Amino acid sequence: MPSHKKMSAEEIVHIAGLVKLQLTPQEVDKFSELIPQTLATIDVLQELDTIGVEPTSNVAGLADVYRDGTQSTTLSQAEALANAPDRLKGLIATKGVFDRS
Amino acid sequence: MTKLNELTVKESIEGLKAQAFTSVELVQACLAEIARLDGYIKAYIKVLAEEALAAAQAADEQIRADPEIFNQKPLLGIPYACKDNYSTKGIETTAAANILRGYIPPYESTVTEKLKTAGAILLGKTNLDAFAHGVSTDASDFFVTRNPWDLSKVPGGSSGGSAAAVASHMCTFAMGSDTGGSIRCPASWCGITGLKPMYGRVSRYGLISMASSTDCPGPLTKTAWDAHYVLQVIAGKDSKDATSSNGDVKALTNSVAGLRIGVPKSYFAVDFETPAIKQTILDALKTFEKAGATLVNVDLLPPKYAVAVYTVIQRSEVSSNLARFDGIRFGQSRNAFGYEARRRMMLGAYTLSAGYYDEYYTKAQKVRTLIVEGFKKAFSAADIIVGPTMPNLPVPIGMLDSSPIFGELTDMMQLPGSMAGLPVVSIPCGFVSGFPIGMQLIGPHFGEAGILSAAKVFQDTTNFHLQMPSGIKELT
Repeated sequence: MPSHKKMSAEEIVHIAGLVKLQLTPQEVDKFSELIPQTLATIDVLQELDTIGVEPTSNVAGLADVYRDGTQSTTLSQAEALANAPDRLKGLIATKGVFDRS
Repeated sequence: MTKLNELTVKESIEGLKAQAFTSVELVQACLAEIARLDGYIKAYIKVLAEEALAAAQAADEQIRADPEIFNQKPLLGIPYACKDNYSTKGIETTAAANILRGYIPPYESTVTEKLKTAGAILLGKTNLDAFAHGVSTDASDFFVTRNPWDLSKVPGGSSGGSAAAVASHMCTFAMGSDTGGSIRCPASWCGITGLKPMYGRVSRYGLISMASSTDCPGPLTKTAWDAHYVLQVIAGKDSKDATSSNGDVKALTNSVAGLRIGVPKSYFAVDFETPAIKQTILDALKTFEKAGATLVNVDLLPPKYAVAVYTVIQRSEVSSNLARFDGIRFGQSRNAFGYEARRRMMLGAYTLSAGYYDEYYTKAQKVRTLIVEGFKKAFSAADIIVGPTMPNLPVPIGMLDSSPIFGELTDMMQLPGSMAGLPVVSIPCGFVSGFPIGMQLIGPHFGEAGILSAAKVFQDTTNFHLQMPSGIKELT
């Protein structure tokens, strides 16, 4: 059984990094209590025996769905760019991936 | 005389067909009610008055030219409200989230496209809990929507704007989406009919994703007949949604004679806010019995397990789905995410992270299998299953943060159906302390016609669905 003691600030900042969130110190403090509290409510799952039970991901029982290999229209360049806050030469400008320094 | 905006879809179509009134008059009546009431209720984020009137004018011309046109356009001239998490091409779509302010989709959702093709007229986009994360519409990043039955209470959520708009007759019907109860909860608290179709019955293409394995688009209507009618328009396989399914929506029947109604003991053993809620549902079961149905006991896992499964799966899928909001291709930066989205992503990232994945996510998916199997067994003894929609009455505005899983506990009766992907309809079945009480009818896969037929029989013999919130009548 997992324990649900208060999480450390480092753990919270690490989790926030996984979902690319910058937290305020107040949020770090709040989540360090809130996440263990929420996990405690999930513990009831351990009451049920699931040995030999297959996990369900699709409830309609669908598998291997393919579409026809036909052409279809997609967004035009202008449409794809329309909502981008930063554009450069007809492309979407992003932040650099690599640090030059 | 009934005002045009108070008519059902069925009555509106009959009137338009008979040319007793025009679509322009129908739209004008809804717009007048919006002008009178929406300053109090605040159901709409955006009202498209000019566009709706122009579409109504065009619809009227088509009806005059060809009275048989309803065979091709079954919703021609009917005004509807749409939850603002459906992408509408050229019309700002926000999911009531600050991060999406100013986002104008370059494409149309399959559902709104089908409704447009069927002739329905989009009146406006309605408020919701941001990204549909909530059960109150209190968690909208923009403003709070109020319950037409009591303006100090929430309408339920997350499709609270759509439910409040239908309940106060500011539209003829509305569209919502239901991941863990987001159609049924506000339908119950606003005293209207809300249908969560089977998972995959209606395409999710263009619906802003919450938890992709349980998101279901569906209608909020004044009657079960209307819900069935709208479902026929929006259902079907869509090449743009690989999880969508084919299969006919069967016709409604007019009898429950011989229908086996499963009554799960565990659904009546939860903590009700007042025993009167439970009693209201038990009374409704008697109405079915009188109409010729048979009640049978069925065993289902207590809803608390579905609450835990949902908490894990939904937050995991949310953390994954919200990754696309990078502020690079559209929208604002991730700093614009509201508190509720942040806390869901945080938990989801944790339950999906290395070392915890099996303990939480895989375990939840296995218990999900137990829930699915439990329903399968129950449906061998019963044709439909009936239980309460909500264990409590609408809560006061501002109660959102009282528990880290406040929403899940509020929606607990609805989560088992969501986890199993079943079709469920909530209909009003009585009143407690002046608030409407909802009853949910759960069907097997592809069983919408069965639950809606039973709902229709109930509405044919009762008048709970015809009651209107009296407190808003005198507002100007």
